[in-house]
Amino acid sequence: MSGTAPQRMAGKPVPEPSVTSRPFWEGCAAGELRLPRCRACDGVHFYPRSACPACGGTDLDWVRSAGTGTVYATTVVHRSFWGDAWADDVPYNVAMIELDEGVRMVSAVVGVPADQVHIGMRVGVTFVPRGDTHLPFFERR
Amino acid sequence: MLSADGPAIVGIGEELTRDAGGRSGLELQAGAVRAAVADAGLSLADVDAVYALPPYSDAHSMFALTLAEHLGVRGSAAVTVDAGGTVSPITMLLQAALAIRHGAHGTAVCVFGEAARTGRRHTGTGWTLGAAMGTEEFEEPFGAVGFVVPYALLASRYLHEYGATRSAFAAVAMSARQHAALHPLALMRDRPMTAHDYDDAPMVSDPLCLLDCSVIADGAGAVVVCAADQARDLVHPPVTLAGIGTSVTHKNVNQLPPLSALGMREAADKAYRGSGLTAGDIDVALVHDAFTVSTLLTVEGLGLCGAGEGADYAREGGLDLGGPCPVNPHGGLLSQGHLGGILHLTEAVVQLRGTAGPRQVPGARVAAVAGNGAVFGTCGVLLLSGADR
Repeated sequence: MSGTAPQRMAGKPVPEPSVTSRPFWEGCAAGELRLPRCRACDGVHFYPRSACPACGGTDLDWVRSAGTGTVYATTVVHRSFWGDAWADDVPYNVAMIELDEGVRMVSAVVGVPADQVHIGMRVGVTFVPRGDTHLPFFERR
Repeated sequence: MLSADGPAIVGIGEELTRDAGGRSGLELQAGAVRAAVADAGLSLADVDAVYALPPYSDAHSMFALTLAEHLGVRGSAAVTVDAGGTVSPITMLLQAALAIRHGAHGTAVCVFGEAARTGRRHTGTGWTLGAAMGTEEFEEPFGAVGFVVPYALLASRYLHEYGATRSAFAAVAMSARQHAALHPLALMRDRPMTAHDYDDAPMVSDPLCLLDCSVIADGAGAVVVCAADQARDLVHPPVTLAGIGTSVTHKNVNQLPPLSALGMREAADKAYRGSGLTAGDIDVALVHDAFTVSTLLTVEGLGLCGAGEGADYAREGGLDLGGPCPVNPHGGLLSQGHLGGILHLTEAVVQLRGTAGPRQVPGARVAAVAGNGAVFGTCGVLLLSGADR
């Protein structure tokens, strides 16, 4: 099982990698945004899973993403939900990023005021340490 | 599959409150089942099948079986259904009707309820879940926590793709609030809302403010479904299932497709094809409205207006009692209270019975119940038909 640590409400959640997702998080620690690629149809997908969601292929490997993309959706969060982990961050940004490889992921744009993030903004990945892991956030390009 | 001589809804039970006084979701659901069975003029001994969605705030294995035992039901089936959000009540009804039609069991109850307001885990803000969502690893570390944030991301797409403004959300919120004033159980019955109130409301997850979000409630709702030949002899005129359509596209918000690819239109088209009805036949619509943007996307998906036209439709009174097809005359999740959409289903039955009092849609013969789960990842449309009165 993957998820976040059970004590997540005490602090900000950190990923708890599964066998399937571990290469993604190892990539983040190494400064690489890695995407699962299907050898059968050559498509990339996100999030990591046991088979290609496009063709069902199970022969998967990893490719390095350019780490660049565009803000697809964005919100400014004004409350710390399900605990006070985010209380010191509000208002903070959460965004969906459409990577140039075509897949979308949930992350956030950092380094600019949350309300300055807009759909269509060009962004690039930046890895932010938290606990024993590194999280792929994005900065304005 | 479904027809006028098919299984029908013959009883309903509803309870809605700010504080269920310590009763559990299980007990609330049992109460709604007893009320629905009594409303039908039946007894629990007549119930042969129980379809139930477990309380979200309280993860529970084999919940429907637990509920059946709690009620003393001995029969043929106890089925736990978690199709997703407000699609679950629609799916329960479909499964029950098909099983009755094929002789797998007799009279069934479909039920949901919980003490979401008073019985949930208290972790500060928001409606917490007892079970994992499967989104934790790739969403929560980035601050995408709870239910408002994913819907806010969707709402940002709505405003962007259609060039709409938040005034459309305000129109949805105010329409629901006006309707809630006419429902005796509505939690916001005595809380009128003006455009000024909306503009002054605190932002929760931009572009959604507090008044874009539904009201968390305690309570439960249930319906009784039985075969057509039995339905004719009972207390109320039967409400028949005219058509059902469902769709599945995704689960996690990180898989959210473009608005044009959301599944509500597909679900509606299936329901229309199966029933021979069209959007123009709908007299009253009970649509998922956990957040205001859901109402806009759902009336568009039903075809009450075109894609992207929901904003103008709402501002011009298209949702209101007195309009061509009133939407959520009970106040909806936004202003009546959020009980997973089961009260959308019971309200549709009340409207088709013609017993909705001051909020009655005159002459309502066809009702649509439209729901979604997981930020439109699964969608369902149920068309119900009332008897001649």
